[in-house]
Amino acid sequence: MWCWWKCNELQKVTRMKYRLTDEGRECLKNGLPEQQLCSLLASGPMKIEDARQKLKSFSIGLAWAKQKGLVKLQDGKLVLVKEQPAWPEHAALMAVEQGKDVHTDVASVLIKRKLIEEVRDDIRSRAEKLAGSEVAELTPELIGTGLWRKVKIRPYNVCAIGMRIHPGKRQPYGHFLDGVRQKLISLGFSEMTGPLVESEFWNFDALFQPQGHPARDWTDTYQLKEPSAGALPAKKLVGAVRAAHESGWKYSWSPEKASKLMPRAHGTAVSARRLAEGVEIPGKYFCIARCFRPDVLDATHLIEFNQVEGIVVDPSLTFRNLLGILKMFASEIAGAEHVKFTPDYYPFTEPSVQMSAKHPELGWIEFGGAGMFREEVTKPLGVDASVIAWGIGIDRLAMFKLGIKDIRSLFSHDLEWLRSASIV
Amino acid sequence: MPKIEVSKTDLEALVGQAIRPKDLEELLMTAKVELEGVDPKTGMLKLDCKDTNRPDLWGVEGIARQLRGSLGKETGVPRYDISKANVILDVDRKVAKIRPLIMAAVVRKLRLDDASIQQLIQLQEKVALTWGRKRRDAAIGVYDFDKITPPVRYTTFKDNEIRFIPLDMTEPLSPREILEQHPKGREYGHLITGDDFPILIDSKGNVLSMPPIINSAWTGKVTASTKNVFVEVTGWDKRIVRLALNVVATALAERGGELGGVVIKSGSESITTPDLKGGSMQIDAAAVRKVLGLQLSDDEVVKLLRRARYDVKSKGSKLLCIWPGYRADIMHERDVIEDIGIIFGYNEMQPEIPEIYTAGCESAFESFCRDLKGLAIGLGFQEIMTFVLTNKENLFRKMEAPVSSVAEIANPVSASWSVMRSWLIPSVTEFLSRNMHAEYPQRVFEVGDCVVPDEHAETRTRSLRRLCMAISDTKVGYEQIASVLDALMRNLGVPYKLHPCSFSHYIEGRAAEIVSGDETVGMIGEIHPQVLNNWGIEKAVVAAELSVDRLWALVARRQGARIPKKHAHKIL
Repeated sequence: MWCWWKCNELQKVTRMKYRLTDEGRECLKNGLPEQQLCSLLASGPMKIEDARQKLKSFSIGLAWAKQKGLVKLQDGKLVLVKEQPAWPEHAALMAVEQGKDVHTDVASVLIKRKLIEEVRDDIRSRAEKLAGSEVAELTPELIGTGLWRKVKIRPYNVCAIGMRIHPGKRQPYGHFLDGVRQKLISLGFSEMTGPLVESEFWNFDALFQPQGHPARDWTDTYQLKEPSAGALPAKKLVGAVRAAHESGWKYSWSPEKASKLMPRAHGTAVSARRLAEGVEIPGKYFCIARCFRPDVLDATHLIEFNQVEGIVVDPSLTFRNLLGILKMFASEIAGAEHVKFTPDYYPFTEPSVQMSAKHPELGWIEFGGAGMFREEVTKPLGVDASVIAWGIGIDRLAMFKLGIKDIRSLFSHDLEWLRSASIV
Repeated sequence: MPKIEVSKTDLEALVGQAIRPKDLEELLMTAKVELEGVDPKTGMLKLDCKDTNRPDLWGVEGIARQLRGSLGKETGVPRYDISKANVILDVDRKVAKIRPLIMAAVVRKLRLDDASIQQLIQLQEKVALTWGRKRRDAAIGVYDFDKITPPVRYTTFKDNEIRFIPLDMTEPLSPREILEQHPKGREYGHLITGDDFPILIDSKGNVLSMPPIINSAWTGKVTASTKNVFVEVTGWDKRIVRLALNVVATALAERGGELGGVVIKSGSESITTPDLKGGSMQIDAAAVRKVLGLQLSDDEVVKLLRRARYDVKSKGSKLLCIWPGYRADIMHERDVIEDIGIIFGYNEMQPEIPEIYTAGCESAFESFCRDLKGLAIGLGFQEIMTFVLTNKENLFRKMEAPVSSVAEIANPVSASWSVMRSWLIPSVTEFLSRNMHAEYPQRVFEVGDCVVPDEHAETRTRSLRRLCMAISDTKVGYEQIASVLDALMRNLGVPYKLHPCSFSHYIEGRAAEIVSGDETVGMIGEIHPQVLNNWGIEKAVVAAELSVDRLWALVARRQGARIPKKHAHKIL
């Protein structure tokens, strides 16, 4: 199927242009060697030695004259057999000189005799040769000379499907995440980043999740065996976090527990780091964070996934503002017009809320959790303003958007699927 | 988080009214309970109790109590009468280091049936499991009070000093035999260490239980004919034990039981439980309006608080909020404000987008990564995304690479996902090994994160971003990937050289280090046929892996001088 155009290459054109060689010019002026010999013998037979004396190219002339049957050897003398009425080769030399067409048969003899040589065509003349014919290819000559007007471009079977090739392109889920990133930037959010491995301090303690308490159990988490513990941040911050835990949750806070390492379990760890580093007020921040939670990998569960996490910082913020932002995300990111808010519980936010968005086909789907950070979180981190925070489980939204039924396809190992997935 | 099952009829009976199916979900939300579905066989409602800090909402009795408030049928703090404490529980000093705390209550005149006993068991289990940290911090025992002869004694015995028949068994066993033979003994035996076993025993020498493991078969079995029950909670922390007892005791009271006190005597000290005194906090109605963004009058705030089952005393502009003794979750006025918001109804509030102007900005590094992906795509490579989690087999053995230290998971669910990758070529090679059926040539790339140990870093590890580009085909060689690399580096404006180098995953003599200045930024080569055999790949593979972090540093260093710091994110 794919080779049909290869069979329709530009038609070869045989009319060529020639020019005289030095020898050819000599022959044009003085006649061909055999022509000169014939003129010499026109007045009567002549001894070979005499003829050789008189003619510069006697041997060539003799060879050709004999081959053409114009002369013969008789009693040691050269005798003219017949008068030659015309010399087509000579006429051809004349034609070449005058730039006229030459029959290819004659031309090939003259070329062989090195009297003329082919001249490489110039662009225009090459193109001119195509005038009036049907061509398969629109050549640079045709375009540049305007001679495309004089040729017919052969119609193709335009219904034939093109050869299958695979472009380089984005992975669909990666592309989707970039779309979300651009959307958030356009909404005035700045991007924050954080490490994949966190201490429990940033994943839990800085977020007021008490050690050894059910409030820390809202999700299963991985722990690192090697290396198993890291360093805690500045003493002042650690002291403030400890004080918040000990007065709020009434237990003895352990720095050893807080320094245990784990693959980050939620993007809120990045928000905690950001708040501690210092934020602008007002400020809006987001991150797209790869997170890890132990589970059995199947069609509905991943062991690592992406969370879109964000915070807005301003003293004036209210819970209704949080609902407003969540609703905006639902429409901007999920394209959902209807949202529903449900009370929820996170140790680090109060009030806490979960949002569901109405999907046109699938009905209500849980979209993300959010809330206003507790003062027990913000004060120790050094922030004296309301902070509203949200985390969107972006994987499910991506599944809907990409038409994926099996969540594992987000990290697909199937090259053919990746090649065929449309990039919208 | 605890998931429970309750009967709708039971719930309605306890609430005191029928609930229309369409209202049920919304109403349950006021108790932070999500209706997950209905069991098609039993018709039981499947509920997800979301507030891990409110065990009073982990049973149908407590949920109903909350819903009566939401509906306005019964407001304020619920009143429970506790009859005069005439039951004594002696606490032996010997338990001090074994399991020191015990609190108890008597509930009389109960009319139980199998369904309500089932609910009681469910509540008891959820509270002990989650709130009680798998019985370590709180273990709950419920007994037939009529089989007990007070005073009850909480003491310890040696293994050879006592035997009793545990629940679900027929022969008397010693404490150690119970730990070894009884399923609950095996499950919770680790909570008792040493040779002294905590025992609850009555004045006639009938064993009630061995906390926190198992009740005795005689006193510890509650049936539909049980009228009066004895409830006790043991543990280590007063707050936790007290709350667990209050949650279970008031749940039984919700079933119509009459609460009776128990005097807990410990040496010269003596307290009476259950103690249902709640807590209180002064809040400002203005703070409620500010946090929620709602224009509520002080009166409206008070009404909402009462429906959320608070008692309220006005003190000028301040409101003294008093909450019931079965709650211990309130630490800050925000907790009270949330309760007001929930009763008001989250979906009744008008969402409002805050009018805050900020300029958005992409992380300069992420932006660089996106440009890098653009180049790889321009070079005809398909992007792939794979997991950071993998295993040492894939990372080292199959790659014929020397084992180096990696971030290793302590509690992997599966051995396949037990370490975090330290380089990308294994992920990409694995990808190629799974696509032997797909059309060749295969040109794929990934920009992905890796983790390597670093003892100087705060988290003793560093997250690295790396780029791997690979081509696999019947006929493919070093020169192809070298020209891809060259195109990439030229377009990044990063000068580089290739230094011949040996890597065990590459063919000897067909591998190089990519060096820019005096810094190694990556490696390039033809994958060794032994590696291909290990992965079952039948076509040649050439691959380059580069450190995106280092490329970024080189590019930023080159361009940084010209670009104001504020706009550094726009580099490239």
